[in-house]
Amino acid sequence: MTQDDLAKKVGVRRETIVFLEQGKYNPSLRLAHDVARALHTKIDDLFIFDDEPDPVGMEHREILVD
Amino acid sequence: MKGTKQRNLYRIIIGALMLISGLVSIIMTGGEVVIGTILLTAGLVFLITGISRHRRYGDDPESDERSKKIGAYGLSYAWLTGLFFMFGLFWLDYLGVLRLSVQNALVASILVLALSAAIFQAYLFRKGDIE
Repeated sequence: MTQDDLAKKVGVRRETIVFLEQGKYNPSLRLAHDVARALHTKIDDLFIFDDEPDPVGMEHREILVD
Repeated sequence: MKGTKQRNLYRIIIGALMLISGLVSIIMTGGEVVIGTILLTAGLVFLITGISRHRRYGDDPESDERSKKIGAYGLSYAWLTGLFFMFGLFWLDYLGVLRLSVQNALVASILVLALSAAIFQAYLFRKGDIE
């Protein structure tokens, strides 16, 4: 399937698909679902988010507890 | 996609009709050219917009969630830019540093608003997303 075909199938512009592939655009849940369905796969298999660092490091935990 | 094609076709037809009406109005009325000029200008804008959008997008949708999101953020940033600009104009005038006529101040504000909207949107489209 080409980018153009996928774009037409999910109802967006081709450049949106291009930026999605490059990881430069965060799609809405609706679009993510539509793309996954068009590609016959699951959202989890298509979109992988890097684990963010724990905002509360271990060294600060005792401050919060107090 | 059929809707997109039809919308551009309507723009071209309306533009052509306004253009012709403007020309006829200017020719028929002789001295009074204001309405004719307005029709001519508006017709040209519709025609050029319709043709350029058809050539640029073809059957593709003109807008999707990404373009709407970027368009909205670009306009928001432009509004803020315009606000700061007018704020600056006020203080420049109040302090006597720069005195503009109302007409010039309005034109400058309109230019800043329109240009900043175009610039912000172009930047965000090139970047891909607002984050």
